[in-house]
Amino acid sequence: MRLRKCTVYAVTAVALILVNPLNAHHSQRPFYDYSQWVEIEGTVNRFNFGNPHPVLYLQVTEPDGETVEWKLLFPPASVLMRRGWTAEQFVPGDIVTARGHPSRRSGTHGMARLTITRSDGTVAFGGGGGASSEE
Amino acid sequence: MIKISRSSRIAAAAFLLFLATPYADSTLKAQSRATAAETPDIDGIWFRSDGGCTPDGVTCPFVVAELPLKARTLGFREAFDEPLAPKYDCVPSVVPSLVADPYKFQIEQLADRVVITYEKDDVIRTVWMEGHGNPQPKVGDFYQQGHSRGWYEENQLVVETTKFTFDPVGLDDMSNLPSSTSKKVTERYWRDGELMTVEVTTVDPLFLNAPIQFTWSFESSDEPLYLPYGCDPELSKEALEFLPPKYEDPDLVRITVSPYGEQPRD
Repeated sequence: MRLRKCTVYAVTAVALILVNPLNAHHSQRPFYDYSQWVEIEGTVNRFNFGNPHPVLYLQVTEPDGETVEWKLLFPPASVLMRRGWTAEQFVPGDIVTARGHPSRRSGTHGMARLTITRSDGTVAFGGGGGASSEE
Repeated sequence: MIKISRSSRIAAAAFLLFLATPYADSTLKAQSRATAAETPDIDGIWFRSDGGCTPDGVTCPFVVAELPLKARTLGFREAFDEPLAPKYDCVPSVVPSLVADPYKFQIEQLADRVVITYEKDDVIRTVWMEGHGNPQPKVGDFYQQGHSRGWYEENQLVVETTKFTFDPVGLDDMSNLPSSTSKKVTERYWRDGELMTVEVTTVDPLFLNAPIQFTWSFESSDEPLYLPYGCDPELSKEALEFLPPKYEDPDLVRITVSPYGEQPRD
């Protein structure tokens, strides 16, 4: 009975992590265009792991050959630490693919509701179409 | 050496007792007000399993259109630009919004005070319990988190907070609703089986036509708080560049409010 209760709690907790946005710092929709999806591949410049949003700085080469830096915002570090994340989750030189909703302001390079996949195919963050990774 | 007669000593002692009597009386009254049977056991760490307020195109905990807002409140919100919100400088949110944040918090019930520690923004609130001679704010004393006094009644912890500073997002930091120094927030905490329920009522005659209220329940947690939160102002501001500007020329706002009386450009 005890095990069953724990299992229910665990399943509920995982489900909540998957379906719920995890930050109340500010509303996301004014910042990101939820009607659009983008996918990029880039090299990690640095990963600033802190509150209220950790940020992954990704160097990306655009189709026209220009190199730009994308900023990918995550849920609060205090939430991610409960999942075992550390400041070494991403290190400079890592190659990752990111999919999500692009930032609204023209000329900026941001993304929300992320799914991030490493070069070996493992999902580093998100999954399920990005619904798990809303900031 | 000065000699004091026995009768003078007795008179002095009687005078001191006379002075102390009102304090002793109020202390006894306050203590009798909170008998053990009336004190809920809410000591521990609490969280909302549904995540609490989370921004996904809806406002929370309030639906702005349903709030009894004064015209000046709507005008303020209309003019307010998101980057001006104090949270982007890591200024913590305040009640009532603080209660609705999707982070854990800890309640410690001590004899003369209740301490509430929030994981979000490292906020620590001290609720000064009545009847213990705790400090009282003076006229002109205002605090970002206000001054909280508390008491127990009918198995509830009642927390009344006043003396807030003006806060541009002090009524609701998700919807950018302001609060004044007249804001009063009353929180009532009680146990409901395994749950703890909180009823939060806010009045602010400067910005509200009537009280606003929400009631939420929380579950207890065995996990510790992850502290310090250590809000990083650099990280806090990173998303602002993604937001389309509200005003055509953001510099216009700065010039308009210049203390030198400059006029906006044509």
